[in-house]
Amino acid sequence: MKIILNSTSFLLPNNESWSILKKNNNISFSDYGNINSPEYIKDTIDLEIILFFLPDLIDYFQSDKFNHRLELKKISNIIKLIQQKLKSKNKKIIVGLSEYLYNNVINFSKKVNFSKKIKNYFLDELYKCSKKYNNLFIIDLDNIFSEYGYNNCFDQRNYYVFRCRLSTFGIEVVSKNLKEIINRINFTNKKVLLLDCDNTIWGGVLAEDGIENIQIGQDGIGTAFSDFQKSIKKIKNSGVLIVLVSKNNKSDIEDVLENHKSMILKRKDIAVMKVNWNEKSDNIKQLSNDLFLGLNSFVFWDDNPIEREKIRSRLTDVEVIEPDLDITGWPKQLLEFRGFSKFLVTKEDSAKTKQYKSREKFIEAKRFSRNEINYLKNIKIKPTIIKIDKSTINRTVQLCQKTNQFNLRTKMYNASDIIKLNNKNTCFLVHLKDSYGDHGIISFICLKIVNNKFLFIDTFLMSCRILGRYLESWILNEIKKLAIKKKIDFILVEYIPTKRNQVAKNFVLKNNFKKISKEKVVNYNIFFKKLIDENANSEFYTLPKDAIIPNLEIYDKSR
Amino acid sequence: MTNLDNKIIQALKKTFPKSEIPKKIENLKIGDLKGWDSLGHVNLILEIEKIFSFKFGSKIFLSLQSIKKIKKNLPK
Repeated sequence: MKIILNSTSFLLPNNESWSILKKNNNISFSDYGNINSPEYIKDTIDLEIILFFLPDLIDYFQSDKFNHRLELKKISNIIKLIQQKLKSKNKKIIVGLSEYLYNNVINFSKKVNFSKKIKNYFLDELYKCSKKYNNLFIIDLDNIFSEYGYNNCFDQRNYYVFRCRLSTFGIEVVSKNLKEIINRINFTNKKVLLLDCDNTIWGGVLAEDGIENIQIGQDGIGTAFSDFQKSIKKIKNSGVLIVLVSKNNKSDIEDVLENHKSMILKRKDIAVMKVNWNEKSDNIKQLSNDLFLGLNSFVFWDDNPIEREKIRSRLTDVEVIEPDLDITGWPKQLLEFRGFSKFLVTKEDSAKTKQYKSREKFIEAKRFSRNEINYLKNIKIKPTIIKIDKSTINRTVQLCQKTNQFNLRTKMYNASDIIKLNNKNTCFLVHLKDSYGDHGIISFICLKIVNNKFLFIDTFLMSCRILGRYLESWILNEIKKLAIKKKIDFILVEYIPTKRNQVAKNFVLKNNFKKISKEKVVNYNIFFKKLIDENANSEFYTLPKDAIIPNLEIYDKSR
Repeated sequence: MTNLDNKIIQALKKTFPKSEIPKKIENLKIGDLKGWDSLGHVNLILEIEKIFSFKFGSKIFLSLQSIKKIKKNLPK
């Protein structure tokens, strides 16, 4: 990633403390005090980081003579500048903000600290922007500094000698936290938490101690296990699947989940139970196949160091947590674990466990059914087309950012892109219900009419958890109906290959789209479809020599 | 070579990875190595502080422009 770092303070470019951030990234620093990137570099960078230290903007020594309105005006102007930068949607921006607190417990015991007021205003405005612009990320630096100690992170000598507000340790801390946000921008979060049972979600060994003697809910250590389960539940509600991987008798564990009064986790919270006497690594491999999830989406939490070592050596992609030696540290450790964190949590996330469970049942039942079509008829699939509006935009963004498999072009649109697309083109979402439950919004389609001749499918994506229902054919049929209504003869589809979207290509080929040769449309894998006379087996339509191929490259840029 | 020298060489190597550090560092000063400009100098002093777990005062920080001076001001 090409990164530029701007700050109101001098921040020691080339110092060793930036090494964490420099790994795999190409970073340049603007001149000290300049929060604008130099012109020559502006268009080439992927990420701009701007770090603000309030005393660089406001004279803390004159706080008694403050004109608050003027100071707030200053901040508003900075916000305007940031908004300007945000309009270039290909660039991500991280804004960090520190109040650089001068603490005086007596002065601020009756009235609010002036710098706090300004900082809160600044933060509020930034968060308002982040609702509008998906490419903005905010770090409250003071929260981070307080974790490591304010006095360790700042250095007065450094400031007066070479204008750097931070100590080298402070820079390291900033570097590390920026890296975490960048990692989440580039890589999706973990999706499955694999948990052992004995001495992990409760204290004691069930087979030896019996259900009445396991530690959960009692004073002391039992409360720590309860809080650990509460943390697990919180993570589950953000869309993570909880899987029990335990060497035990399944019925014993089910008994605890269903009948132990102090258990916070219930059977319904557990997406899958891999409770048997097989090797845990074999269970996990099988699970990865069943859930269509790569091993790098899995996190393993087990109190037993031998089991942890086995997973580490056999399944190198699984993240194995080294739990705190004392269980009392676990609830905090789990909540602070960044692997599961994501920027936004939607309504669909909290229903994820239920949806995966119903998918499991669906696959199982389909496997045993003799006639697939009849079976699909029996489960009463009911897709509904719904509009994109305020209530569905977050889910649309999430679908764009997360759908890797059934996605023709994998365009990572943000909220403002989608609003623009929706204003100019035909966009819709598909909501799905069947006898396995309400699957929520699982598809986003965007269609663009080009030269009044072609209906170009800008976006066709579907969540992988509902695959196998031929919903894609239903959607394609809806698209055809729309094309006929608008008197358009051709549907244009582009397939941009990624590592994981082969299934989308299969769909294109299966539906007899005719490929346009690469020489005609450079860099694009475009497929063509003739709508009329479809039954006459004329789908392999030959492109006439004088046919106008819409210049998609230009279209893409001007959108 | 003293232990003190070894530690300073370590700091020089880390701060100026593109330069070859001579074995005798006694007479080295700012400008003698590639990257040892005023910014490189600040980074070098901060690295030395880290290695020795010691902090130079603001009064002398910018005057430590040679290895001799740095050694003189490090705790014995």
